[in-house]
Amino acid sequence: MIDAFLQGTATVFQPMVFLSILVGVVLGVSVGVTAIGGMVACALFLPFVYQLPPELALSFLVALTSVVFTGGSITSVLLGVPGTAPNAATVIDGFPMAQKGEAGRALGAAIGSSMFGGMASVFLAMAMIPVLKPIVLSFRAPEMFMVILLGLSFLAIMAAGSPVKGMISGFLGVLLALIGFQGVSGVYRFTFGSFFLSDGLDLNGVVLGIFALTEMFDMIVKGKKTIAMEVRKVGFKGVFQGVKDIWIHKWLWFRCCVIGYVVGIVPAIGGNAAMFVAYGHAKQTSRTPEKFGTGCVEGVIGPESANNASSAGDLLTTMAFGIPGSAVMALLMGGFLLVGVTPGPVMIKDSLPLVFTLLVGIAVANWIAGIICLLIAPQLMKVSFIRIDYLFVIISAVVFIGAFISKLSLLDLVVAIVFGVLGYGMKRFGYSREALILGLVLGELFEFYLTRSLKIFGPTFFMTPTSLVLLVFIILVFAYPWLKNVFSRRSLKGAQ
Amino acid sequence: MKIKPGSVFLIFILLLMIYTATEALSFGHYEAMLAPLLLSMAILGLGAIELVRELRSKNKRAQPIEDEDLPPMVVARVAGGSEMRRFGTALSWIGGFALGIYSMGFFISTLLFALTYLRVRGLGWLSSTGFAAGFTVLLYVIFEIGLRSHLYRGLVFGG
Repeated sequence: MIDAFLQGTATVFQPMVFLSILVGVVLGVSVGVTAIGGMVACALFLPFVYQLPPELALSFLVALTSVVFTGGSITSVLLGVPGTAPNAATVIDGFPMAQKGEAGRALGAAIGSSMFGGMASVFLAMAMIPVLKPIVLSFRAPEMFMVILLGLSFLAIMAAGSPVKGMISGFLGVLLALIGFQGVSGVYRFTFGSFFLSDGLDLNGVVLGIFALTEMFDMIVKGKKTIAMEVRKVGFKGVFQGVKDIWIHKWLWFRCCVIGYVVGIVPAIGGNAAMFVAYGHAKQTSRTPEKFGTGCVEGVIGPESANNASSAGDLLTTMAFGIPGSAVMALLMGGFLLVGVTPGPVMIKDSLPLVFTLLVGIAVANWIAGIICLLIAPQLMKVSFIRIDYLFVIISAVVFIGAFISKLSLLDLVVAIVFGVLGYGMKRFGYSREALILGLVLGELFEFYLTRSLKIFGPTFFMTPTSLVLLVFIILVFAYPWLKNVFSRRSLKGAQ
Repeated sequence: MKIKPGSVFLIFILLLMIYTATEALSFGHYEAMLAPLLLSMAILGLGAIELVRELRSKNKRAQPIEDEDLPPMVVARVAGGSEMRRFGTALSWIGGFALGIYSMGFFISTLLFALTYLRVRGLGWLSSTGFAAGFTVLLYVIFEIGLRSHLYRGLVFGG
C-alpha cells in the first residue's frame, strides 16, 4: 500500500503529468467561470485525451473536473450566477456579501474553502482505501446490480424535474446502451440492419450532443449575448480577510469537508447534494442563523468546502466499484475506458498506484487552482464576457471533431445532432440528461449483473443480506419525497 | 383538450417504448430480450403515470426546469421570434456545418462556418476573418500536428 502511494505520488510530479494537471486546472477554472458546467467541460475535452497515455489523460481530466467548482465560486460571488450547479448555495450568501462591498472577503472564503476542502478530502479518501478494498472485493453480482440501481435512483430523485421523469431518463439511457451486437446471444439489437450501430452508440457523440449542443441551442434560443454583463471590484485585502475567516470557522470548515466527502461517496449524488446539506448544517450550527441569506461568511465556507470535498469521494466510488459517483464521473468513466483503463474492483486490486496518482492529482490540482484563483480572480472574470457567438462556433467545431475522432465515422456527427435535439427536448420538458448518461454508461453492467444474478441466484437474487439493505435504501430514496410531505403536513397541523 | 408540448414529448417516448418492447420480443433469445423488455415495460409504466399527471394539471404551463438560475441582468432576450424558430435557426446552422464537413472536411468548413456565422451575427469583417482563421489554425495545430489525429478532408478533396 505504501509502495503504491509513493509510486503514485512520484508519478504526479513527473514533468508531463504535472503539466497536464496544470493545463487541466487552468481550463477547469476557466470553464467554471464561463458557467457551462463540469459535464460540458469534460465532454468537450474528452477528444483531446484520446491518444494520450493513461496517466497524462486521466490526470488532466481529473484535475479539470475537480476544480470546476473553484472557478464556479467566482461567478457565484461576483455575479450571482452559479458557475456550476454545486455552486448554487454559495450565491445565497456570497452574492449579498459582494453587494455589501465585501466581494473580496467572500471570494477569499469561497476559494480558500474550496482549495483546502478539496485537499482534505483526498486524505480522507486515501485513509479509506484499506477499508474499502475488502468491501469492494466481497461484492458479488446481486450487490453490484443493487448498487447500480441505487445510483440511478439517487440521480432520478435528485433530478430537477419529477423523480418519475428522472427514472424514465435513467432507464432510457440503459436502453440506449443495449443497442448493438450482444456477444452472449449473438443477437443484433435495435441496429436496423446498420453496420454502424452494431458496435453500439459512441459515448462521445451522445455526450457531446446531449450536453454541449443542447447548451448551445438553449443559449441561442434564450438570445443570450454573453454569459455576464456586470463586474464588481475585488480588493486583495478583502481576499485575505476571507481566507482568515476559514481559520476562524475551522471546525465548521472541517465538518463540511467530511459532509462533502461522505455525500460524495454515495453513488450518483456528488456535489449538488453535498453543498445543500453543508449549507443547512452551517446554518443549523451557527450562533447567528438569522444572518444567513443576507451575506454571512459561514454560508459561503460551508457549501464551498463541501462541493470540492465531494470530488475525492466521488472519484473513489467510481474507481472502486466501476460505478460513477455522479454524472460528471460517468463522463470521466468514459474517459477511463477511452484510454484503456477499466474502473472497478480490479483497478483497486491491480492498479493501486494509478488510483493514488489520481487522488494526489486532485490535491495538487486544488492547491494550484486555489492559488490561481486567489491571485487572478478579477482577470478570470473576463472569460465570462466572451460573446456567445464565438462560443457557438468553438463548441460546434469541438463537438463535431470530438464525435468523429473516436470511431472516425461521420455518422457520429449525426448522432451528436440527434442527441442535441433530444437533449434540448429533455431540458425543455424537465427530464434529467445526467440520469440518461449515467444509464448509458452503466447499461452494459446493468444487463451483465442482472442476467448473472438471475442465472446464479434465481429470481430471488436480491435476498442476500447486503442486497436487501441496498433494496431498503432504494425504497427509502423513492419514499423520501412522500415521507417529507407527510411529516411537513403533520408538523403544520401541530403548529395550528 | 389542448395537449401540452411536454405531453407530446412523453407520448413520443411511450410510442418508442411500445416499439422497443415489440422488437425485444422478436429477439428469440432469453438473454437478449430480458433487459430491453424489462426496461421498456418499466418506462411504459412510469410514462403512463407521468402522462396522467401532466394531463390532469392542465392549468399549469409547461416550463423549462433547469437553468432558470440566471438573474435578468445577465440574460438579454432577443425581441420577437418564437422559441421554435430560433431553435430551428440554430439547428440549421449546425446541420449546415455538418454537411460542410461532409463535403469539404473539418478545416475548410470550420473556417467558412466561423466566418459566415460571425458575419451574419453582425461582427465586422476583420474580427470575423481573424477569429475564423485563428481558430482554424489552432484546431489544425492541436489535432493534426499535436495529437496526430488526421481529420476527415471532405468529399471534394478525396476524403
